[in-house]
Amino acid sequence: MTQLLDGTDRRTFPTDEELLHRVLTPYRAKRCEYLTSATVTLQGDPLDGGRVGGSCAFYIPESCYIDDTGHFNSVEFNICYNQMAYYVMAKSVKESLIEPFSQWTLDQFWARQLADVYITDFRSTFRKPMQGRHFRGEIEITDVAEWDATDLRDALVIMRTKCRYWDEFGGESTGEIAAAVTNPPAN
Amino acid sequence: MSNAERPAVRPGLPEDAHPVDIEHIYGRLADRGLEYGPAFRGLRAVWSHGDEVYADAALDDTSGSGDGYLLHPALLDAALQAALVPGLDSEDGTFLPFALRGVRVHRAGARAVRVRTTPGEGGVVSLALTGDDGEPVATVGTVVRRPVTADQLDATAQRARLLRVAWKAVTPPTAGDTQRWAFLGTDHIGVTGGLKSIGHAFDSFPSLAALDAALIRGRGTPAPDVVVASCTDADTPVRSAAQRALMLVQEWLADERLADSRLVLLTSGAVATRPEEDLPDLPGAAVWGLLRSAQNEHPGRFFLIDVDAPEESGRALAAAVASGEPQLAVRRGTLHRPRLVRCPPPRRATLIGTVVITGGTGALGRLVARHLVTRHDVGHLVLLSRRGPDAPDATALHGELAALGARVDLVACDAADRAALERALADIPAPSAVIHTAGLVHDATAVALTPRRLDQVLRPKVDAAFHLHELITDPECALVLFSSVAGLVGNRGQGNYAAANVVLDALAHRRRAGGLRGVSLAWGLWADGMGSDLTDAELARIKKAGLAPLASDQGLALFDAALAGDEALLAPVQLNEAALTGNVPPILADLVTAQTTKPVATESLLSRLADLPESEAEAAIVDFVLETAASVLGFDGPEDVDPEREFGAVGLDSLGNLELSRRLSAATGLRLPATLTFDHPTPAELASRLRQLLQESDR
Repeated sequence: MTQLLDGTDRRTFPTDEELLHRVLTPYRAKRCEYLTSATVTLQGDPLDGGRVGGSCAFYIPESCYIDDTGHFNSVEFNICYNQMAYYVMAKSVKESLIEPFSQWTLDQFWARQLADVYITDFRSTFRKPMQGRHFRGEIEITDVAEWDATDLRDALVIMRTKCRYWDEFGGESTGEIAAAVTNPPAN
Repeated sequence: MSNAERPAVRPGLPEDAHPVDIEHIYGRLADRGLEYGPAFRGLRAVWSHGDEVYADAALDDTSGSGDGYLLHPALLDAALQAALVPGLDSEDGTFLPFALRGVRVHRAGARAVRVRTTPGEGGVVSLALTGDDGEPVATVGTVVRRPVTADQLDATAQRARLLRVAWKAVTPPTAGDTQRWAFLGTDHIGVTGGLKSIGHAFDSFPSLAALDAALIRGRGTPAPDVVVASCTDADTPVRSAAQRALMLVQEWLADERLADSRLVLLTSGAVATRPEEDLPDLPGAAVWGLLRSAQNEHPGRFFLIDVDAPEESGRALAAAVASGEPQLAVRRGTLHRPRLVRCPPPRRATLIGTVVITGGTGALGRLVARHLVTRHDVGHLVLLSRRGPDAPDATALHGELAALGARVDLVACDAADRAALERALADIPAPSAVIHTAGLVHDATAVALTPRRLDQVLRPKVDAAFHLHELITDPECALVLFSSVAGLVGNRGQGNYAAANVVLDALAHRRRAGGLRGVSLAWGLWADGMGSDLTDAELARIKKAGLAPLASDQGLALFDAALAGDEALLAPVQLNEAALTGNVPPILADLVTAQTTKPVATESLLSRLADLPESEAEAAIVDFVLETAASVLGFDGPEDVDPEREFGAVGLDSLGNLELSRRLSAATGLRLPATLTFDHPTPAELASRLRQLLQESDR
């Protein structure tokens, strides 16, 4: 995989088509593979204030669950978020970008992608309706907390993220989402 | 202007008056710890004539106009300095003006005066200040001077800011406990047996998932009023214990069903309530620090209880919870809560030989390094830091310390890396002290803290301190741990930092229990350390909580005093006395206006003496003086006051002196002079004088 260096502490990874295909597999039968490209960037040291983010493109030819509403709605917001988040996590595993995902194997990730990743807090704000079928989105992992297993609770990874979508017509929406990964591999 | 430039005579000056060198005067005063800045070096020329002193004094340009004053304080001070000249070369100590009587200003706004001092009866002097025209500007009927010792001057610099933690007994509530209890998680310390033995009912949930399931099942039934969780045992790593407690705190704050449930975290041996007490549960100490911050961020939600004998503490535990006190230790069935109290400043200690400093190129490390060379007898400094000689300004630091005569080794060593630390220590001669100043902050509230942010702060402080403790086994070597009062107070937004510092405090106890030397200094904020980056709002918040930043010289004076102390944990802080009004963190509550409103031993000394045989009167008077002095000084009790040590040396300032005199007057019916503690400077001498006065008044 090509890795572009555009600064001393910034690493950029263009769309990994094979990985993207794998990440979107669960969506294929439902005809809702919305994420079309994703460039992942690692800025700084992920152990010390560094951030992993994704810059993405989406295409929604038609809604997978409702007749055309004429605008980007919260269900699609959520589906697009999931696809971005899965992809960035998978890429972090594959390229060892950020702990604890850097300690995982891809097989471990695929085994957990659907069963063990939960959204625990979801806030979305629609500033101006988005109408385009093509639009862009970005995600940033602002923090990943690894909680050890104790008598009181099983091990848990909590990922805090921010995301944003926008289209060429000035539409924009933003979100802050926390996701929990249960059953993290003990590598 | 030196004397040489002045006319040999001036009006009113006796012909045989001898000029006195002004540089000698200020040099001599500085030798004794009285350093005058430029604005207060007002003497321009001085002559001695027998017991009299003649002087010219003037304000300098930086003193501003004298117009706003009847008599500018710097000008009066210069005149009073002239009164000190006769005793200047004696070895009896430094004399300071103590009381002024009969002060009259005849003409306002003077910028320059001629001064004449004339001795009177009993060592007092009178002052006459005149203008160039010979007309009177001011007169002082008598200036009473009293000697002060270097010890007293040091104590003045300290202003009794050395605090220690006293665990004070709390009366248990009498009302019965009708609340619904639950025990959560594994009973690591075996306290459920104690609850069962007193017949205290409680539900039991082995995990948060089990508690959650019960809350779902019992839809509509409120959550337990009290949920008790044991902290992990002493073998758990500190970071795991802290992380587990943080997880519980976050779950508690996130789950609205638990909004009315109090979470009680139990430890056993995580705090030392007496100096000689061992402290086996260091991980539990981290929980105390973390939770203190959480308590301040979310009052009324979290409670800390440390028990000595878990199996036998059922009744005391129920009483502790019912008391509503946020932090308690149960010892032999009695409840104790922590309070910071003023503590008598120990005499100064001197370090010698080789001293190792971790964080040696940091702001505090540099200050201490310089101080050890200039004020102690340290000839060899080993400064450890992660970057060593490559740290910013390390070369300049090396040059500066070397120029002061010290041998300096700058060593690149991460003290949290045990192998690296062992190598670094192996290469140097046995140090007289190792000072652990390394540390960093990474602030976040309890809700936002993560395991990583905990680790980031615990590692440089706690890991390094544990390694130092293990590697330094020489019983002569002092391990001085730089902790923070944030751990005792529980600063908001600093749960991780508080946790790290309370572990350091605990480690010092542990070390002493093992027969080694160690002290943890829970510093208040240093103005030149982390305090230099504070915003005005942050500073205002600290001041509102009763604390204020320490200036470097104050901090270093307290460092010297604390080194000589015989305590595992001392808190050298600058108190913002004005803000100590009641609305302060609980641990500071007993410092609140201790000098004025603390319950006074109002019992008349006379009635106490009336019931005693003559042979016991002397001891009773001494006890009474010690009790009263301890109360005025804000100390924990009379045992903190040494009957043979001077009041000034233990921090009694002029207001305290007035208060002591007032209380002793009230208790004895005697009219006591304001100079009482200066003329009888130790409690023993004062008691002896009181007895004499009481006997005289009897006749």
